[in-house]
Amino acid sequence: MLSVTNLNSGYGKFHVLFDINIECGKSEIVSVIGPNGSGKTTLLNTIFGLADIFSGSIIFEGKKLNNMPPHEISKIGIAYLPQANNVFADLSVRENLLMAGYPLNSQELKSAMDDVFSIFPTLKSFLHRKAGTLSGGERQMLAIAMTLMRKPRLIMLDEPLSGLAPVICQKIIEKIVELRDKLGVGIVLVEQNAKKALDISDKTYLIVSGKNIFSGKPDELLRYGELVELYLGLKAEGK
Amino acid sequence: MIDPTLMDSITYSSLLAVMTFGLSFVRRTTGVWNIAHASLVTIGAYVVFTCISFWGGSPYVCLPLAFILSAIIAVVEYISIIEPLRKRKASTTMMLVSTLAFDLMMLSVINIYADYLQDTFNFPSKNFLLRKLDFEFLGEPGIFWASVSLLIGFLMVLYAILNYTKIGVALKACVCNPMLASISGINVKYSNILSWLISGGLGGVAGGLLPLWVQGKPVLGDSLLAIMFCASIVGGVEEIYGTVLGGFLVGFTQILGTSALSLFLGPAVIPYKTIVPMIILILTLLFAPNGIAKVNWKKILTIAKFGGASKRKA
Repeated sequence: MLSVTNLNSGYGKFHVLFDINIECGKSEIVSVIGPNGSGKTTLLNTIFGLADIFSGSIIFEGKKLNNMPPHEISKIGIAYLPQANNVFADLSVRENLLMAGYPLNSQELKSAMDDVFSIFPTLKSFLHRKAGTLSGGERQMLAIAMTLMRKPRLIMLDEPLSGLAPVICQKIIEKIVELRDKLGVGIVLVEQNAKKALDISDKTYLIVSGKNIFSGKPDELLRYGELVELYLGLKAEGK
Repeated sequence: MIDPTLMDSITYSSLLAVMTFGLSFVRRTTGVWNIAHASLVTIGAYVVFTCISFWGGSPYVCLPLAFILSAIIAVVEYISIIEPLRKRKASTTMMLVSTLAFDLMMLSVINIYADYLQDTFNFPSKNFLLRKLDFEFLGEPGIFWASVSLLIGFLMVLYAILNYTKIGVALKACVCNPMLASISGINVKYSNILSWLISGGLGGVAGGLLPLWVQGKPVLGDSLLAIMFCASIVGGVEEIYGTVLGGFLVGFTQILGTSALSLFLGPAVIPYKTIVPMIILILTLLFAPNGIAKVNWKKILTIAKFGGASKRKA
């Protein structure tokens, strides 16, 4: 579904990613992990047209995304949940959902809202509250709900668990797995919490200093004791 | 019959609020203080003057044309200068300077045009007043009713657009978080163009009304620029309706304040009337740096009402 090949990208003259290769299929959770500042967010930004591509290609369902503006990419079935500022704080919850489904017509919008409320029923109770007044967990729920409004086939989540209480983290993880299993959505998950990300991933990529140093199944990565301990702070299997 | 000073204050404040809205709105949407907004106001005045001079009739009939021309020039400014600079990640200072350059360029064009009208058609285009073409209603000049109606109508339309239309909510979304807006499928560039179009058009309409009240001249808008900035900052750039508050506070204090001061200090203070809003600006920056619209009046009133009591309880 998504294929990133030999991607070199960055911001202006600042080169961040070097020859990155990533694949994500339907009903698959692909985690991208790595230490702080390794370029994980830049990878998602590049896929979504928010960073400059120097070389390489990004192909989604046969369509090349290179140099496509973000508002066009959002219309072809990809949704992106940024790590910070992922809701419109000054707008109500209803307006946030309305904006998330901006390209849809009124009928599609209504059906998308109903679908989203069936996954996140609590959102219905604070439809008219400003998003900026929601708690961290509620805000993250809204942000994920917003990514679902356009019924995407691929969702890119940038640290969706960051700063959340463990109970809320668990709920969000369950929702992510539900999206894959029930809706067949492909998910690219960037997460600092490597343990949690690896637990639910079908495939994982380890990026360090903008370079892809591992790609494969999560349990394969866990066998590389040195990598896991050095870059992710986890204990390798059998240790 | 309304007191003439009060009427002057209301007229001035209403026009100032409409003009300032454009300045604040583009500042919020694109992060640019558009100094050339002054020229857009002047262009509105010259559109009305040109129509009246060639074809006669009521100045009010020419206002839609003033809106259109000023709006088009604002969009041209955005597309030709601001957008390319933004793409090159220019600093806000650089963009501010570029709008100053555009303003000076437009000022030259307006001056050339005024000279052309004067030399070729013998129109008094360097200094004109259209007050005699105004109508009267209930004993008050039309400009009073027109400026108040323009402000009220504009606020109602703006409120309806921003709250009940998809494009209006999208405009708010772009102001709130442009990156998230773009990944939500909103074309931020078109939203920005729309905000420049509305701002420029409103500047043009307010400018078109100004010669019915004050003398029109090539520096008409530029002479009001400092006051517009003052109203914008006092009202609070972050609040869409803050500029209306700012416009009224600055307009009222400038006219009523100067009038009151002249009673005590004599008419010598009248030429220094622009000092009054500047004093308000300094006070605002000192005590409410985000503008009066951002002040938590409820909290202040509660403290004023119960502050003593709560202290005693403690």
